[in-house]
Amino acid sequence: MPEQTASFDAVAFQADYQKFLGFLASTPRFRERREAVRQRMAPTPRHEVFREHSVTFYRYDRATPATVGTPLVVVPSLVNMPNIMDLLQGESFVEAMLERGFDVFMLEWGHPTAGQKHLDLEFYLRTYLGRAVRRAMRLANTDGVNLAGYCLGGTMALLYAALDARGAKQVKNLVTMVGPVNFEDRGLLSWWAKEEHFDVDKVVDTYGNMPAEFFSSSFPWLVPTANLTKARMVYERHEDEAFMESFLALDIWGTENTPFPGDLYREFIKKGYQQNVLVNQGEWPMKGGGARLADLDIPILNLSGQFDHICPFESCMKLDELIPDHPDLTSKHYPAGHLGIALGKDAAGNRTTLYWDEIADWLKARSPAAATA
Amino acid sequence: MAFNPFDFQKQMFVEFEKTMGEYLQKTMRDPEFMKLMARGMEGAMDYRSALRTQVEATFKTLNLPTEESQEKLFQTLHGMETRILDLEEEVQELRQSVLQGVQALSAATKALNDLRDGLRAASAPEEAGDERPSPGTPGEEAEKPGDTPQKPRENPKSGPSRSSKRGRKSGGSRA
Repeated sequence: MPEQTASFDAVAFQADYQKFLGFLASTPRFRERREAVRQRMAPTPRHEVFREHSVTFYRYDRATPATVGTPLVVVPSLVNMPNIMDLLQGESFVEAMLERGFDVFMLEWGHPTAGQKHLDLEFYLRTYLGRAVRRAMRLANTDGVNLAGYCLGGTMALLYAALDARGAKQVKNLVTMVGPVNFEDRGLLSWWAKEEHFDVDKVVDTYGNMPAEFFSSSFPWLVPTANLTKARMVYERHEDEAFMESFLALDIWGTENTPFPGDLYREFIKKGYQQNVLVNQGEWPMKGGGARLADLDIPILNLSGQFDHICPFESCMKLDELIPDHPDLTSKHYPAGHLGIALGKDAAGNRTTLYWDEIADWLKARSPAAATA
Repeated sequence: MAFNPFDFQKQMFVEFEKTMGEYLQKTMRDPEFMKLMARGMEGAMDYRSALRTQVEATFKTLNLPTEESQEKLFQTLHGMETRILDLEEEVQELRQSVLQGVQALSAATKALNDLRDGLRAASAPEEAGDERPSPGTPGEEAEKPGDTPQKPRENPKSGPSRSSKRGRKSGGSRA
């Protein structure tokens, strides 16, 4: 046994050297490990309800009847793959809501085709999301749905609910998870998208639909040293199977972006990031009549993460100021990052069911029980 | 103090990460850096546009489908797909309305049938009363419960009958 000297820690060196060799030995299997994790992503069984253009609407299978009468329609963001809402077993918002008695549906935006290049936000809301809501109501035999939107999906769910408030009133309760309302904030995205820095017309007119590479090459720069941090974490914890499973799943999700419909992207940048219409005008202008925040009268649960660098929490919490007289608006922020609420993890990466429990309890208090057969 | 090269390397890496992170964050918030990036992007977009124009012109010359024609085709197909789904929804709604109408009609029919059965049951005693012996038939009395007992009629052949408790209509005195 090597003796520890005053100038050279042989014991610690030997342990670290073994670890280093172990890491080198594991690198050839890294790709295989990554692919194996990919097969285990989006584990919750579901079936397709309808498909329209690139958009697919799914219903998640339940082993037992739902106990909550109003179905839950999940609206993910368009920027990344929607399986962040059902990443892995135990790290799945969808799975959590199913376990808590909800009949869960999800609208997946898919990869837009060339024919969707000119579709605007109003089309996306009224046609795709509207059809999804109506179909969920028919299948669940109810007169309304609960909407839960994540990130940009949260903003879209909010705007849809505002449109619906003047229309069919099919949205009964709304949950927005890290959904930006105020697009002018301290985050880098807001800075990059300013009119003087970013000619969105030129970019969209050139590309058409924004390619996935546009996002996968720019998003990592929101945290510039993210790749260095990832490399260090993999080196230190490559033997921890549970950590690596979660890490690789997130890496796959984070690096495999989806294309973004061209005119929709133009609209979000111009009206959102550059004109900040929701804050400055209180509505999102649309051809068929704007989505006005003041029209919202349904219960809203607005969640944000304290350490969210993509949608800073003050950007999400601005909703409180924009609709101060709302009869039932609950805003909460948690010590979590942008992905924490979807994955059920706090800022330190520890699993927690706090967010899901609170969302479920809040919805159950405002939804009827399911009718027994 | 004990020295471990791996610890030293880890510390160096962490310091590098921290310093690099701070420098890059500061750089990306620098307006001059943003101007540089904007010019770079503009140049890239101009080049791409020029390339696309050339490719489109070449495809047109070769009579091959261009991106624009393919987009139009997709838009037509998407329009048709949306219309079909809209029609499907309308059919479902119609089906639902018809089903509700049929159910309502079925319930109404049942209610009418119940009413008819009730009326028939109520008129049934009158029909049964027509089949019984008519009043005046000798020696016979009506015995239906609730019926008022009929006064027996005199038999002309048998002599004066004992008067009933009700008395005779003729009012003759008793012997």
